[in-house]
Amino acid sequence: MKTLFSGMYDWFGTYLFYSKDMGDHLNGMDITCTDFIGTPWYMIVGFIMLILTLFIYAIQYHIYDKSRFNKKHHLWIMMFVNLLLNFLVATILASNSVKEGYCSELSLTTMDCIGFGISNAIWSFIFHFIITSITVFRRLSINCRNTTFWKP
Amino acid sequence: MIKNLLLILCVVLLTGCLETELEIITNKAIQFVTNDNKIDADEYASLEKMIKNSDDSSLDRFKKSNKHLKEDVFRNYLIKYFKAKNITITENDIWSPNNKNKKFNINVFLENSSSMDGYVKGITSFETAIYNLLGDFKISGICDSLNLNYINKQVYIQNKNALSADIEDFIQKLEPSTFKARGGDRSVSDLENIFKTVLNTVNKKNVSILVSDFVFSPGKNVNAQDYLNNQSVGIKIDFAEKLNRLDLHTMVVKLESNFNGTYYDKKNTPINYSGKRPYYVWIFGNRTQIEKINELKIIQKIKGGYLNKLVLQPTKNKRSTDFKILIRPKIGEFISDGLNKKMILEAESENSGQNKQSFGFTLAVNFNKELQDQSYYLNKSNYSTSNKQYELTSEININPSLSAYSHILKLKTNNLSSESLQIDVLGKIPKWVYSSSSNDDSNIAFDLDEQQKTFGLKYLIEGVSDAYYSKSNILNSMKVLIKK
Amino acid sequence: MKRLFVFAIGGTGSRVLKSLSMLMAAGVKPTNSDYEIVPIIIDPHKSNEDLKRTERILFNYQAICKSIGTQNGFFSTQISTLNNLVNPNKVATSFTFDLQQVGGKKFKEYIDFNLLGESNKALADILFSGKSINKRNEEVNLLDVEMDIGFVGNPNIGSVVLNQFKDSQEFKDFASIFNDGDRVFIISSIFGGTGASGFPTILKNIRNAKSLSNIQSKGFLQDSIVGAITVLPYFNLETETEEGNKSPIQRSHFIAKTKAALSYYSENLSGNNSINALYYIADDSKGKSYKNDPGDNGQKNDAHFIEMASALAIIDFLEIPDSELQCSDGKALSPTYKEFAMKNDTDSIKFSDFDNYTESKISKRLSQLTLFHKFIKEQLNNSIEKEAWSTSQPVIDKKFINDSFYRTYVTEFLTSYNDWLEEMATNKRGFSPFNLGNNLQNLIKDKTVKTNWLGKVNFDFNFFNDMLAKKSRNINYTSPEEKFIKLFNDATEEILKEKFGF
Repeated sequence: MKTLFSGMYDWFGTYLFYSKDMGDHLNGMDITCTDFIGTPWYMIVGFIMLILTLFIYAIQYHIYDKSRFNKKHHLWIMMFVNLLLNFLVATILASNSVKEGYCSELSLTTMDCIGFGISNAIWSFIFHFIITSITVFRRLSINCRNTTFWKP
Repeated sequence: MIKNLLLILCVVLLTGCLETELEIITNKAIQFVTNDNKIDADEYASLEKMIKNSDDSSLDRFKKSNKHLKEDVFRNYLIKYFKAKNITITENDIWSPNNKNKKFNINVFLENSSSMDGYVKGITSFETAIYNLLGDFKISGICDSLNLNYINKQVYIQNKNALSADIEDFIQKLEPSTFKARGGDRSVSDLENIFKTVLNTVNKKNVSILVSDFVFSPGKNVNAQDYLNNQSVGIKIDFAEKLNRLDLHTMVVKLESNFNGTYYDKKNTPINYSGKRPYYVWIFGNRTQIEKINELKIIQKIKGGYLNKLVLQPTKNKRSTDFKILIRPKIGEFISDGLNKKMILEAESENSGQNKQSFGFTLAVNFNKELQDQSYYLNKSNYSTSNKQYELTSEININPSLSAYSHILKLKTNNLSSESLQIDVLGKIPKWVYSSSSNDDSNIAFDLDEQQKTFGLKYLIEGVSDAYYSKSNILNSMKVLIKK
Repeated sequence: MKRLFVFAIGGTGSRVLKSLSMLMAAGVKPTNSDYEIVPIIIDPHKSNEDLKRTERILFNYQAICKSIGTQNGFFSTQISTLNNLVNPNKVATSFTFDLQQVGGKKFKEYIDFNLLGESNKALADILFSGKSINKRNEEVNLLDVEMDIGFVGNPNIGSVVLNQFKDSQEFKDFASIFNDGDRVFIISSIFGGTGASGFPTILKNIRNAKSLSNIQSKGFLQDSIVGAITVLPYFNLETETEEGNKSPIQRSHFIAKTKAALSYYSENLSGNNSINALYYIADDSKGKSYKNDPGDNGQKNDAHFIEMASALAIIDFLEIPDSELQCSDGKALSPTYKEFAMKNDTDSIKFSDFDNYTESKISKRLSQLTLFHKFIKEQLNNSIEKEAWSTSQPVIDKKFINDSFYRTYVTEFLTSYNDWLEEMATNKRGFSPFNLGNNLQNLIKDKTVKTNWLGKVNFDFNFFNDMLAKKSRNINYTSPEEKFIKLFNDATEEILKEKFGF
């Protein structure tokens, strides 16, 4: 599970939006710079991202599930909310963890935290897109069964 | 609004649930420390239990193969952790199961051949230094009993289990006359014999200290060169034999005192001399004993100071050196995974700037518990790398966050390749030995240079050194696996 | 499938038949029995608007059923033409009985007046005296009336002409196809020309079927179960024409003719037990005055509540079990006579004014169809290709909207339905259970929408769409047409249950 999230974020995120050092810190480099045995931030943020995305998807498609909120621009609204929330979660968690202390051999900046926020936001968007594209889940909805990113 | 609450709830739950085992343990340790600024036996035991009972793979580094705690690894980690969290706590504040006081006896052998008389006439710095040294040993609490002896051809026991008053007597009442009175054949210094005798007294429970001027006396009709060679070989054999049976460590300390008396040169010609003369204190013991002495900085606190120090260590059972590969500074690139396993992975040379085509990395090494002086480890000629294309520089560690490590080694090469790089600290005879060694002491009265030297010292030290380092002179070894 | 042959005679017949179609379209049907309706319209005034309208409505109904069958809640009764049954392969068929030699002919010519002897001529003169107007609104003698505009309120002419029915191909077809278990129902007015004469004529021919030589029947016709409704006067006629002349058909004549007809019936219909079930319906003359418009394309009367009530008689008739309507030797063994009653006597009838059984039969169903029409009129264009029920398979998209099924059949039918409701609402006595122009919440007059736990009324087209989406889940429809009708049936049913408490 941990390696899954690590692989995911490292593959798209590290180097592009934030430094490798931030990647090491998020992977769990502990405060004594011994090994990746510290808080596994990738896994935490990854789980939160998945759950938030699922939850926001479920709100629109299953909990509220009304014909007045099933058009594609409504989905875009929810996607934007999801993006924003995940950006905030990732940025806040990352900067808090930096404040609490990190391996002194790494150099971390605020831009790294924001970059991670952006990366997490993009991943949340991707997941949201995928979930709404797979028919199997949507089919259980009453009014939103055919609502995807492209239509109606 | 509801979303915010749910978000906070999620975060709290998750960060609460996802605390790693290690975090739980370290948080508990912090709790212990904030309570009473130390970790006592019970608290230590509870932490140990938590580690033992955990299945988390990240805690395996603290466990031996039989699941028991690796004491020193764990303690080191705790100290590093506290330091990183800015909590001031020293190693002594953490309860250690090895606290049993391993006391040992100290047997002091003062060479009292006639050449030593000049050191004890009147009040000399020799007397002051030795008196204080012995006194320090006594009050340090590391010795069970302090036994004082004179030695020339034989051992003349002066005081078994000396008390402070006895030490005073042993030293302060030293006058040539007392020396004479206290006995023995004071004519010849047969150093080899003296060494053999003293070495015999050294064991797990007994440390021996030999104080002398260590001047060879070949004699009138003897070829000095041959004599020195023979002595050297003899000493080497004696030491080698002892090394076979014991983890013998030898510390040589060069001091200086004012001398007023008769100096006997290589031909045994008496020369009147008044001025400064070197003398030596040799300490013999096993690793733990010498470590203890080092720890207490007894030598460093000698009244009047010392000129040089040398420690000879056996290389038979190589000890693991505590070192760490740092993420930064580096030249080129490599990833952080595997550093803790002493592996540099995905290494790449620098591809731009003034360091183009170079590759370099930094090691933080802990020589704190090592027996040589800190400056020994700063000398790059005392190191050897398996790949000669690596350039090594050593400096004292001033980074407070790496307080567990004493030195920073920087390695750089222009030719990066995948290999297992071995970095060794070598045991070498330091330069001062050679510059303190004299080949001809006949002109000592007028030769200022000669006055600082000791005749034949080189042969003496080389003999001992051969015994130690002929097979291998690797004191410490570090292996780093580099993969491109 | 048992069949009900409905003879709709004259203008009233057409209009009652129209009401019947509307009820059937809404899904009103006799409990516990399934009948196929075979309407046969008998009206020489072929160009009259009521007839044309009814024909068009029946045509659309049939087209819809052909496409989706009768298992969809709405349009749940099969309606066929006589020709459909006889020649199932023939495509173009008509519901109207083709009266022979009526077009353009004067009555005089029909009876070959000129070939009559003098005494017969004199008799004819007396029998057929009086004046009437022709289709150009000119006053003519009765004998000179051109019959293709009907018998203009003269049953004496009608009874002569309609006697040809027994020799017609339609009657032959009807007789040969009539099975054991099939029934007959005859709709006629007692005050008109065609209806008053047609009813006894047809009934007589049915009961005497055995003796008719050229009929090859299976022998069931004589003892068949026959019901009929006689519609007594319920509307007013304008006393004057546009030019200020007196209208040749006067209301005052209605009453006289009614009396005359009734006494004939009492002897020859009810009196001799020819009919198994006879229904009467009437209303006093507070009604709106209709114009007497004999011309081509004239006689387009607004729908009236009485017509719907008359259609209910047919439903009632079908619910009477066979055992209670036995015949023997052409005579009904236990004939029954019925009238229509309401709970409340009001000028503008709502559902709650009906008696409980009637109300339970029609209120929910008509409300469903009304909701359906309202959605189509006001919301459908906004919802297709956007809502889940529209985008799921089978897809209801713009192509479906442009197809003849929706564009022609359904739209025309439901527009006629809406017109029917509006006409009945404005008529006197009015039938106006719905607030047709208003929003959804106020649609049904005597029912209020249930509020949710917050006290808010939550019923709008979004709710409708939600219900449509809900009802269309996991159902396999065979075609978009079937889906369209069935889904709306299910959804409107559920909406009425949830929101209106049906």
